[in-house]
Amino acid sequence: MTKRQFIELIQLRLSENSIVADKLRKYPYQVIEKTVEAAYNTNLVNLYVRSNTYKSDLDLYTKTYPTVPVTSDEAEIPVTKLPQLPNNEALRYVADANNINNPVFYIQNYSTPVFNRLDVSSEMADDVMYYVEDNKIHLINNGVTALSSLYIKAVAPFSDFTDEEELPMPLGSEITVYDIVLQRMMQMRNPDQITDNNPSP
Amino acid sequence: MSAENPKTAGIVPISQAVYEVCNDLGDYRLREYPRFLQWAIRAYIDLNMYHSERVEVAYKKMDANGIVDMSVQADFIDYVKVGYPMQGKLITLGVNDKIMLRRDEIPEDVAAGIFNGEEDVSVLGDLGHSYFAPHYYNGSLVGGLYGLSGGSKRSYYRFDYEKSQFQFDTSLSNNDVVIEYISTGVSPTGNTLIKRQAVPVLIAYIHWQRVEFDPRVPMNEKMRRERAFDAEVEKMRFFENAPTIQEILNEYYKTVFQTVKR
Repeated sequence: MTKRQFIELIQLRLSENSIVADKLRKYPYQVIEKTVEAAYNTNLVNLYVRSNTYKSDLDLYTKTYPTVPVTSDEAEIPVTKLPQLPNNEALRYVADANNINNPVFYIQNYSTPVFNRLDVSSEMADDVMYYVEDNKIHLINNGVTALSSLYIKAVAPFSDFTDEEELPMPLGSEITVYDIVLQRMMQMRNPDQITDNNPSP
Repeated sequence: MSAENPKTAGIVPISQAVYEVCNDLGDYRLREYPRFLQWAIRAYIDLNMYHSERVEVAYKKMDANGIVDMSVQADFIDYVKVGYPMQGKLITLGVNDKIMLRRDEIPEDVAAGIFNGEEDVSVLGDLGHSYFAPHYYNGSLVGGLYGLSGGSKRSYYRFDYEKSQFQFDTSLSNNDVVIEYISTGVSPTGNTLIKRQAVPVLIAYIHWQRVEFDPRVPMNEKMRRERAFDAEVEKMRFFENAPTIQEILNEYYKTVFQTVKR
C-alpha cells in the first residue's frame, strides 16, 4: 500500500465513507500524515524491541544509498533525520562505494582514544572506521584508503517516503497502524493499560 | 590427500576468528568488530606466551659495543635461546647476570670496558669458568689449547629488559647472533596470520569475553564459557605437543639394548 492510499483510506474512514469534499476537509491530509507517522514509528520501535537479537527485521525498512559523497572525511547521512534507535541501529551498513564488500567499521563516537592505544589499531591500520554525530558519518583512518564516496544502508524515516511509495510494513501490521490512527483521530479512549486485577477506583 | 585445490587455508588472518563469531551470532553488522578483534589479539598473545611451543627466530649482528638491539623486534616478549650458528646448528650461549648493563650515566670509558673485546683474557678469566679464552691471531682462530674441545668462541650475555637489548661480554665470529624468542605472534604492522588450530580457541575466548563483563549474565553461564575456552586451549596444546609415533618409537628404541636375557 502506498503512503497516499494509506492516508486516504483513513481519511475515508474518518469521513464515514463519504467522499464529499466538505467532510473530507474536516480531516486534513497533513494532519493524518503526521498522526500516521507517529503510529508508524511506534510500530517500528515495537518491531525493533520484539525482533531477533540482531534486528535483521529492520531490513524491511532499510533503503540503500549507493554513492554518498565524502567531503573532508565527513558524509551527510542521506535521510532527513536518522530514526533514533539504540546503538545507532538505524544505520545498517556502511561500505566503500567502489567495493560494497569492503565495510567501513562502526565505532562509538568517542572510542578512538582507546582503540588507538590498543593492539587492534595496528591490526586495523588499513581499515576505515566511522562514528555518527549530528546526522553525519565521520570517517576515521581514511588517510590511506581515501574513500571519496560511501555505500550506505539506513532505515528511512517516514517523512522520506513520497506519497506514491510503498510503505514498508510487516504483514498484518497495517491494521495496527490504522487502528492507532483512528483512535487518535476519533478521540477514542485508549484501552486500559493497568495490568493488575483490581477494579479502577 | 590429493593435490587438488581448493583446500581450506591452514594459515588464516586473525580476523577469521572474529568473522566466525559474527557468523555464530548471526550478527552481520560488524558493529563489534574492533572490540572482538582486540579480544582475539589478547587471546592469541596469551596462547603464544603460555601454551604454544612455537618460537620466532631473529638473526642479528652484534654491534661494536657487544649489543644486540631487540627494540626493533616489536613482537619480542622474552628470549628462549641465544647462540650462534655453526654448521647448521645453534650453539647456545649462557646467561651471566653479572654483566653490567649499559646506562647513559656510565662514563664512556667505563661503558667501553663492559664489552672488552676478544683480546681481553683477564676479564673473562675472572668469570671463573673453565673455558679457554677466545682468541684470534692474525685473523685466524686459535683454538688448540690442550684438553679443551671446540675452537669456536664463547660469549655470555645478559638481557636488559628496560632497554630491550642483549649485552654480550665478548664478540663472536662475524658478530652473528641467533635469537630464538617468544613472540606475541601478532604482527606490529597488521595483517597477522595465525595457525588454524588457534582459531577455535580465539572463538571460544571471544564468546566468553562477550558475557564476562555483563552483570546481567548469570555466573554459571560465564563459567560455562570459561570452561569451553579452557577445553579449546587443551585441545590446541594436545595438537601441538602430542608426539608423533616416530618420536615415541625413537625414544623406545633408544632404551632397547642387546643384552643377556634374564
